[in-house]
Amino acid sequence: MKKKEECNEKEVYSMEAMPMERAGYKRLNFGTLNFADRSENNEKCTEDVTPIQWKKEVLSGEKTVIIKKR
Amino acid sequence: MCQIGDIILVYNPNRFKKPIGMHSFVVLDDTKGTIRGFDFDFIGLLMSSMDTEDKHKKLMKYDGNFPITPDEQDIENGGNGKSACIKAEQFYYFHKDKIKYKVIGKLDEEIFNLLVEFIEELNKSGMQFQQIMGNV
Repeated sequence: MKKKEECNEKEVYSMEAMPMERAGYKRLNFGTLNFADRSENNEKCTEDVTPIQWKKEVLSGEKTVIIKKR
Repeated sequence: MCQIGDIILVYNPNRFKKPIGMHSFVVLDDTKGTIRGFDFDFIGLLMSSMDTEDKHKKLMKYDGNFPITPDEQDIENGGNGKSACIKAEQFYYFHKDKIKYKVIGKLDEEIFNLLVEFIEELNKSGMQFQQIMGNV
């Protein structure tokens, strides 16, 4: 297990286990991102959000949604 | 279990200690980690419907929203002709033991990689990403 490191007074992540790879899916390098110093509380973050109304076949598990480029 | 690129339904995720009802998320990363002393299993991005012109205008004012529109994307099995967006500037950290969720689909590789590139461009433009930790 890697030790936790601090960089520019922001936490980076200790990776405990490598996930199953999904071939071809690009992984974001979180170490290069700029994070706000304090996280907003969730209430403010979701005030403009409307839940997506999926079809009942998707909600039931009968069908799987795939979003792909046209 | 969920993987990078999956679309998941989270039943009553928390927002500042309050449940907010069922919402859809895209799994941005499925690597386990620790943030501010809390373990997490994956990071998700919240999805929002833009099913009216009004909502579309309101949400697309924000640079951090990645659009999903029927004229640019095919939504197999789930499309109702409406648009949606992915809120790419807010990272939700999830511990699987703290939530109830279901995998309902995925972004295909091309769209997912476009989303990642979108985030990288936001970063270059100076965007500061928010870390939402109500579910760890």
